Amino acid sequence: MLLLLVVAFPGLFASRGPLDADPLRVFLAPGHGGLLGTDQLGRDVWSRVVYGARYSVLIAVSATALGVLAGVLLGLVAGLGGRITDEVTARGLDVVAAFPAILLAIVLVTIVGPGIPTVIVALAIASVPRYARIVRAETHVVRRSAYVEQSVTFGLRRTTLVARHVLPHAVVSVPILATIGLGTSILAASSLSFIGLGPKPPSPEWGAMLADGRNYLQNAWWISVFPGVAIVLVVVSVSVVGRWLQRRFEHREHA
Amino acid sequence: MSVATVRGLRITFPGPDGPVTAVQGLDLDVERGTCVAIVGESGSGKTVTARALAGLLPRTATWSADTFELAGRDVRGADERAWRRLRGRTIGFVLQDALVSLDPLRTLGAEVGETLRTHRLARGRRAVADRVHALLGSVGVPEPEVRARQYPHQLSGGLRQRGLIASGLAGDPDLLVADEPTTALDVTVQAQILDLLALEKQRGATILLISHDLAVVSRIADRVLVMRAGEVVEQGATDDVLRRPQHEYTRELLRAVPSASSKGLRLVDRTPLVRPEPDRADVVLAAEHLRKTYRVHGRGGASELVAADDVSLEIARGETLGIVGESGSGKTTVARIVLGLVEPDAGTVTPGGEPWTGVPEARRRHLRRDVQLIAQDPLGSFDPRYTVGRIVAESLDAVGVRGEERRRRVAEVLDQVRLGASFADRHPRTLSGGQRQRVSIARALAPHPRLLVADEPVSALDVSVQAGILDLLGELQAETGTSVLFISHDLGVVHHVADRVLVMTGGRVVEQGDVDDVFHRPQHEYTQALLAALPALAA
Amino acid sequence: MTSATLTTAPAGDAAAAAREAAPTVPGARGRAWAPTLAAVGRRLVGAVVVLWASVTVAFVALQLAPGSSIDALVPPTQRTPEAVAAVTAEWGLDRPVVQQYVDYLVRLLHGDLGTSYQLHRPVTDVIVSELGPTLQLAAAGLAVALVLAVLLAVSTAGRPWASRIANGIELTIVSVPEFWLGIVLLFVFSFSLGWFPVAGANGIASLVLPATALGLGLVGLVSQVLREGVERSLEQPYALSVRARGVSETALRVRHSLRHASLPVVTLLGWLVGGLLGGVIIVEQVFGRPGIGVVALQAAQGRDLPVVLGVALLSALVYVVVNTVVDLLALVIDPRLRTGAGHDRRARDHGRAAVVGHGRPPGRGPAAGARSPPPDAALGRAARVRGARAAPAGRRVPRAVRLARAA
Repeated sequence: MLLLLVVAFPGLFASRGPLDADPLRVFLAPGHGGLLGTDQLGRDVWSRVVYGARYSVLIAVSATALGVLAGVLLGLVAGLGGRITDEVTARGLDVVAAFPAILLAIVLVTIVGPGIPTVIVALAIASVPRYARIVRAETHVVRRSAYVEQSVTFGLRRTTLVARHVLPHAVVSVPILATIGLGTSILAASSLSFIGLGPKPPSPEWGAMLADGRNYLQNAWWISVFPGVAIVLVVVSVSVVGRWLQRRFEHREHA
Repeated sequence: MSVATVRGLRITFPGPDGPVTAVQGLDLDVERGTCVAIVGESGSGKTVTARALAGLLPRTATWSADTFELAGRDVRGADERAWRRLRGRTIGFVLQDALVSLDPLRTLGAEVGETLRTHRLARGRRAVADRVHALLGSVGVPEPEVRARQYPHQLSGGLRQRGLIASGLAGDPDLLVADEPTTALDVTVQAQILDLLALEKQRGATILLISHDLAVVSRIADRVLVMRAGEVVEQGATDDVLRRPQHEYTRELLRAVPSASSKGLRLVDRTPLVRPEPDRADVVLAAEHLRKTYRVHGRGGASELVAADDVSLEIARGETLGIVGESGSGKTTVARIVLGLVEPDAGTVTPGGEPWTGVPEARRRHLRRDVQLIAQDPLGSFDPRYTVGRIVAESLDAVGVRGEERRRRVAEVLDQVRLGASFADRHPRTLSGGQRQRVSIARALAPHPRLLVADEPVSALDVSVQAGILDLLGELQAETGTSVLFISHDLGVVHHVADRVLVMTGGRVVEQGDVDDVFHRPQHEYTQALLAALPALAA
Repeated sequence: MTSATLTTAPAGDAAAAAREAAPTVPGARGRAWAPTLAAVGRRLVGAVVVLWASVTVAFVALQLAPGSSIDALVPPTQRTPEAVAAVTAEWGLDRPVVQQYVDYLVRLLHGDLGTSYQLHRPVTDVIVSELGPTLQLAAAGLAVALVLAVLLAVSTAGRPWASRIANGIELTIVSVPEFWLGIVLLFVFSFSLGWFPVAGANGIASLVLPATALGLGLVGLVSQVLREGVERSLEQPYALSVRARGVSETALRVRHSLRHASLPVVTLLGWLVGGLLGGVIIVEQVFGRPGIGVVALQAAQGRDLPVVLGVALLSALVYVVVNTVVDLLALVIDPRLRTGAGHDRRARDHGRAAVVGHGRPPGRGPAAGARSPPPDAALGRAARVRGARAAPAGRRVPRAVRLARAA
């Protein structure tokens, strides 16, 4: 919740702009200049962390949404299609899964150049197999379940059957996975910026800030440490929400 | 001398509303060289009692007893280390269904040898192996050297169970606790395992047998304790308890067991239940020369498995046709062909004279309302998101009954299965096993089918619940005149419900005819073997 | 769970059916290898297919890259007519696409990945020369992850409080980005305490921090899967049998449960290696280590596509090899996977039919309601959730494995 607020109205939380440099106030320790100190250009670390949330969340949400969309569609095609469709799709997913997200991003950057859209597409592609495989597996399970079979004996049409029994069960776990996947995407996005494949400096992206601050580790640890803390906090809270959803879901299934 | 002496055993589990008592004041004596049985239905506390004897209660359980002696030792307050010394040496433990009770990743030899190694009863690889082979041989495992090197999944159910018993006996325990040792087995295999336990008793073993099946118990037990809801309601010599039951619950249990003598009677109270004679002129469904094979990969590559071979059957209006057979006999394959879920390789099925096999689904869809399924596992056959009302309504949906009319029919059939319309909003997960099966019956009944296919409809139920369901099926058949294809592994159940019976083994029908004729005067040797293996109540 | 329970039954029961159909005879041991070999063969074929498809994707990526292939292959700064001509000749760009594709395949088979434009060296040479430090780091990271995970999982499994605490630690670790962890480690142990060198790849000392940063990221995942595996195994009826033999709790865990729990972990290894590859690139960056990651990043910044594709194909190769090894390892651990029955698709699809006929009469004891599916199927499935190739894995997939997949 708080995260959403921060993303929507960063101005509420940070008094100074993320790019406002002040050459007189460089390398101030936390407490002495701003809540979390200032960096090498005198920019306020707290403001930058707050504004950085925008980038991370934007990238992660878009990538997850794209990945889920493509994944669910592919999973359903594989799960409901014939044996050949299924096998071809499954192999295709294996191929995509063979490349780690970071490598995919590197390939894409090489071909089309760095930038936020590249990062989003790379993360989305990398996450497709994850969603597609689960949807496919669930579809198979439901397709062969006793209650679908029972519905066949009623003389229900195939389309009715799929719409009524198969689809709802096949996609039910997707929101949960997407939530957990969101955390992963945030991590991966910041990793990509860290190695210089994401938004260009001086954008206050967390990963980029870390890469920046690394050079001043010895005398100004706070520039690198606080963006990292932000990442960990966000990812942990997203994961906790995801797990809570999952536990609730499993509980309902078993009750 | 008493091997186990227990007085006032009390076991409780924490529940949402305070502790739940699983066993209440149980007294037990097991004399050396005898077999004592505890019988009861699910939730009676019999398994918990067995576990307590091996100190293997779940972590959450708490127990107390006035006396608790094993082989003369007071084990109240024994710690884990002390219990470990007792387990395997003083108490041997055999669980049901050896497929899951033996570690699937280890060989049979390793499992049996574990007791020996743990208690240092044999030293050295060679000595352990020799002892294991001797043990396996003594429990009737042929070629023990070969079997010891095999994994549980490579062995048949009977051999697995023998192996498990061998592992229980490996430490030469004072008391062997056998918890439902024959439950998951076919009738003929069950008979062999019971013979083995009887043999071990002759050799001097002391056995505590836990079972839900009075007939099994009557075969080897000297004394019987009948448990219900954590309490022993009756105990005594086996003969006395089974022939002259004192307690009403014991009588009820004995009454509920279906058999030849219960035919034409309600199981619950043994009052007459009259069904009209089947109308032989009106054939509801005929199947001719059905054949179905599956390709199976096993040792030595692919092979053909003949699931059904030249099976023909005919069901008349109002008739109950039983199919009995053991695992792999092909009885369910036949049911699935009849239901139109599996296309036979050869042969025809004609419900009401219309073609059913070899035609596109669209052409036979309108016939489906006439043939409805009652599955063994009702919960699995319900969409987990649905309420009872929606579940029942779905079979009406397909035949175009909608709106108010559908609602009325749902209420009507729920009344018919003695649940009542108020169940429509309930969730199947909140129902008991018997209630679920009633919902399943209501759903099958809703579109006024001409034939109900009931595949092992009562085999997952306790005997008293089973009695209620069988009575219900009989009554509904009398009311509606529908026919039933009743598939079961339980000869007693089939004898009770069926007019005619098919006996299947290896995909073939070996004998068929009037149920009394077949069961009283079996012609085929397989039928004779089945009946001989059946543990009959000494009634 | 019911749906899954029912649907996992087929393969297991088909196996049961096969067993009944062909009763075990003495001397069957020799022949038992035939289906095992078949299973191995199937996996190898699958591996080759994936590899071939990866190559094809790489080729298509080249074709689909915005602009002409020349644009993608030759950075604008170096676009002299000679360079263009050289590239055209090297990649056969004047020939038809199909011909280019075949040539590409042939060259790959000879280990020729093209020439780097920045370094003016064959890509294969570049990669081989930088492979050493990367392999060291990856192996060390994996070792750190596995050792810590086994310790954490076995000691906490089935102990409610310890379990909960470990769970929290794991969740936090999983959420920490490797690069940040690396920076913190650097700050504490190199800058502040001065225990380890800040950068480079000289000897063991320089490997400790990078391997820890890399390994810690994976510990959470592995130990979670492992612990759930051990816990599930401890609840199985066979665990009760083992306890009833008087076996101690530790022996039960080590001798029985760990082996069962290692199945999903072995399966997870396939994913781990993917994570490891990604992690290596980042950790190399943080600690200034030489290696493949540095090569790849520099190539990306210089838009040196042959090098980038070379690294990508290398990672695909590693992934495929590791997963094939993992599949074979699973066969070693679980004897039940060695019979072909579970893999036969037809038996799986139609199995239910054969099944129900071959199903055991169900138990009526206390366990009747919760009758577990034949572990044949259940565990076999769980073990092969990788790639979700085993269709009905679905809800039987342990929670942790699912989480793992999501991470």
